[in-house]
Amino acid sequence: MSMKFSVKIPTFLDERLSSAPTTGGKRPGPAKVLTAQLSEFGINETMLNLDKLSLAMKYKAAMVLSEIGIDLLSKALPLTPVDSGELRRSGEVTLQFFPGYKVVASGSGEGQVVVRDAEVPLSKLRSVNKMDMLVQFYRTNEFGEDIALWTHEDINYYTSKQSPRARTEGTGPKYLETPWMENKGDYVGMLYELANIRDSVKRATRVVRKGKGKTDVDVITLDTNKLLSRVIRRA
Amino acid sequence: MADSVASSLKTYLGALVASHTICDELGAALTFGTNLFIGIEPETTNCVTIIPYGGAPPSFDGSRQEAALQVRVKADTVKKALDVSQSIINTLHNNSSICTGRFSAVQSIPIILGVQEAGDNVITVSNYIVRYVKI
Repeated sequence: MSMKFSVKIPTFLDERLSSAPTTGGKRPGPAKVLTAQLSEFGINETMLNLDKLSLAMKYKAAMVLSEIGIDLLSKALPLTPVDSGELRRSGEVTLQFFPGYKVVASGSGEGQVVVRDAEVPLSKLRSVNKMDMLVQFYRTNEFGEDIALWTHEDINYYTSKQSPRARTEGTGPKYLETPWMENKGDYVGMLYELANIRDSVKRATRVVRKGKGKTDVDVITLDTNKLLSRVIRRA
Repeated sequence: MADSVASSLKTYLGALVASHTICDELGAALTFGTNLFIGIEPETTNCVTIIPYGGAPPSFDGSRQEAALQVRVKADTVKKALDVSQSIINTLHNNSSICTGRFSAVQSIPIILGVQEAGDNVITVSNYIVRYVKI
């Protein structure tokens, strides 16, 4: 595959002006145009590789964010106050990839994480340039009170006049913030690892030597399937 | 002997003059044991309680710490509870003169937890992360 570039280079304007008559003469003629043709090959392969790499990075980001969200929810659910189990069941991990989103996991009344589908279709990721992970609980009671917020934020001790926020031992307020505080260092480390894809790229790389005139050129091709499988394995 | 972050905040709030916006909204200067408390909120109306709740683990060398605490306001009207809480957020956010660290408010506006004691009192809370170096 080859591409041609045409570069138009005008001659120096100063040179033409200095040689032109100063008074009563003709105006300078049109600038001379030199045309140089550059012939390259491998550009398409390079652009294709960059596209595959970008897709793999997005895919890996989606997988890592989902993993972080699922891990956080799995640590939060056992601490979440349980009465009817509705609050625990309202726990959700949502991956937001603008302009779309996907609920990848939710909670069960028993405090377990139910992973729905952590896989994000590649076709959805092509145009994505920002991703967020959201772990949230949402529960209101029959009076419209925000039970999820109340049970999370009311950290004062009970008194005889108050209904207990947590009726089960081991559960209590700050059920989401506490595991986040305890583990956010690990989560940041996982996000740092996103950029570490050198080994994955190396294993997915295929090099074919092609001759071009008197020169041999290594044309590099990235195997998408291998790249994604390596990325998934690492994530 | 080092003061805890909650104790430093108690000293800071207790030293505020009566004309400060927090005291003005509450209707009285803050006095420890009267309308300013640490740890457990009493059955007093129009009071501020500081409740520490841990925070993130210290850094590996143990010197850099992130404490977390909640400031709870109980007042006899919704407006007063919200106004006092908002004044506390405005005063404490990015404040580095309370202890050796810097206070960061987690919320920009207070959270209403609802009414208590047969509807006589309204509770609002605001949370803070305090980043500091242990000395």
